[in-house]
Amino acid sequence: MLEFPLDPDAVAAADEVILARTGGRYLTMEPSDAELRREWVRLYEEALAAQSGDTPQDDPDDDRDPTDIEEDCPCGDCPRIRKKNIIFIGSEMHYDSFWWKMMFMAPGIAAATGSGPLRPADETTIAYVPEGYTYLERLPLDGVANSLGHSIVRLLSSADIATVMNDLPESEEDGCPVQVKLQDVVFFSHGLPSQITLNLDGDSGAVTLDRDNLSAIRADAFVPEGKIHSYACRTGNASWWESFSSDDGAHPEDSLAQRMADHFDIKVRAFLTRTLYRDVLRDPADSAALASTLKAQRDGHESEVISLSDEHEALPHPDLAERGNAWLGTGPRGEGTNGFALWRRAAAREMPVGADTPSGLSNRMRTFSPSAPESGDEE
Amino acid sequence: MRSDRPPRLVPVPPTASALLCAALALATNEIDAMTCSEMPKDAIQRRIAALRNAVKPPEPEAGMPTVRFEFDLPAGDAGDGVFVIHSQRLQRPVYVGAYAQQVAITADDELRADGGWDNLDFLLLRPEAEQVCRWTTDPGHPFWGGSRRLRVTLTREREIDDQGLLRGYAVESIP
Repeated sequence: MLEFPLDPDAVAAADEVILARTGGRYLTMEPSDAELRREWVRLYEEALAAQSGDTPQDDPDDDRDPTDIEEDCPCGDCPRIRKKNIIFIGSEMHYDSFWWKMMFMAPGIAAATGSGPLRPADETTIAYVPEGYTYLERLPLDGVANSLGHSIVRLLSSADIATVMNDLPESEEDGCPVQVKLQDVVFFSHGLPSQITLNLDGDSGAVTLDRDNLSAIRADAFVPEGKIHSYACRTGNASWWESFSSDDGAHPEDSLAQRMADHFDIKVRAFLTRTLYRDVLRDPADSAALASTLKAQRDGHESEVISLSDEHEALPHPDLAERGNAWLGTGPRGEGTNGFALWRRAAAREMPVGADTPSGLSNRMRTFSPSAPESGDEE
Repeated sequence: MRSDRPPRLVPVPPTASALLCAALALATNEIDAMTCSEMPKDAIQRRIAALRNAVKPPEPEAGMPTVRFEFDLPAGDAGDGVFVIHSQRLQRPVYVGAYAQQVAITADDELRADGGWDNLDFLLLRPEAEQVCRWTTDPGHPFWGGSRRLRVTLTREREIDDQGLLRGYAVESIP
């Protein structure tokens, strides 16, 4: 039986033997290391006994895995769990629009401040795709991270998604082992059927989570009550059809949402339909007033932040939505919104909701439980 | 003989000025009015190389249906650009080559899966013009559902509807 705190000399002696055997790799809590962990415990106890001149006693628990320490740990619940939340924010390179540019940033920042579906956690990481965001557009993200102590990670490839979710370090606190586990993970991003496409239409390459690369993420990453919330389009839909007669036609049982529920043994909340971010930043009834205010104030101020109302401002974004013809009144140039991105100072007004397409599907957020999708469990 | 005198400015009547602006606005190359963005030549060439590596054209076999795309963009406007048909379902291009107003692609088993429904992106990469044009449309279409002719109209001005659906081209079946 291990007694805490551990003796540092005995730890060093056990480490020396094990590290020589693993080529310098430290042991993990993975099942594949269980045999080596048992060996480490034996070596540790031998070293301890050698220090005191005792002979290690025969212990019926001698061949037990040191991760099975709930009963014996003097620290109470062991290992201690540090709960971690992750907020994924995609790039917006699809629309090229004043109205939609910040559609993922707004709910992502709101979630970081406690307005979204996330429960309080010991630590929070905001992982975002930087492509296409200007300095001014990233500033609210930096601000909320700094003020709340969240960490920020930039995603540059699909593999980075797994890297962020697998970043679950083990440590020791007051002589007790501490394990970081995921509690809530939320995605604000574009999506295709059973693909969370965090860099849709981006030039720097795909940043996508799908059924093929899901297995790169540790299956034991979450606490038992962990949850994933996907506000990407069609995460719970395994079909590319645009018209259905019932939810069953979307094969939710084969979807990425179901695969995540099975892989992590947690509940996953996701949509069968596309998701609608239209109302996240503004009330559509205010759109005309916002556009006309920007058009009236922009002359000579194209590189400045322009206040549009008590709630909204326009962030300068060179080359954004440079389409249409101002003289003919067409496109963003005609509207007067080219070269700017709409921002709401308090971030999102509300979370995204289910859209009406594909037709024939329930557009409420659905809960996927391990092994079989639930029905009738909607918000 | 060279003169150091500044050129004489000839006032243009307001009506004529407006007509001149309108003419210039409408006289631009068709493709310049579309969904294009600027990109450095070397970046476009790297992207073309990556697309050529990623493309996996279907292997034609006897009895497989053929989908014939007919595009409305004049070949002269495309110049020597590289044209790409990218399948979002397969997450890779199915055609990378010279632009032609008619492109035929064999619909193999992989493309015909799920009823042949897919979302396609059409790209035109023009290194010499340092320009990349992209046409994408959110609602999917059963492109690969069987042998067919499809007319693809690449729109001048993309639209986003009330549900957030982007429409950058229109597809219709030709009998």
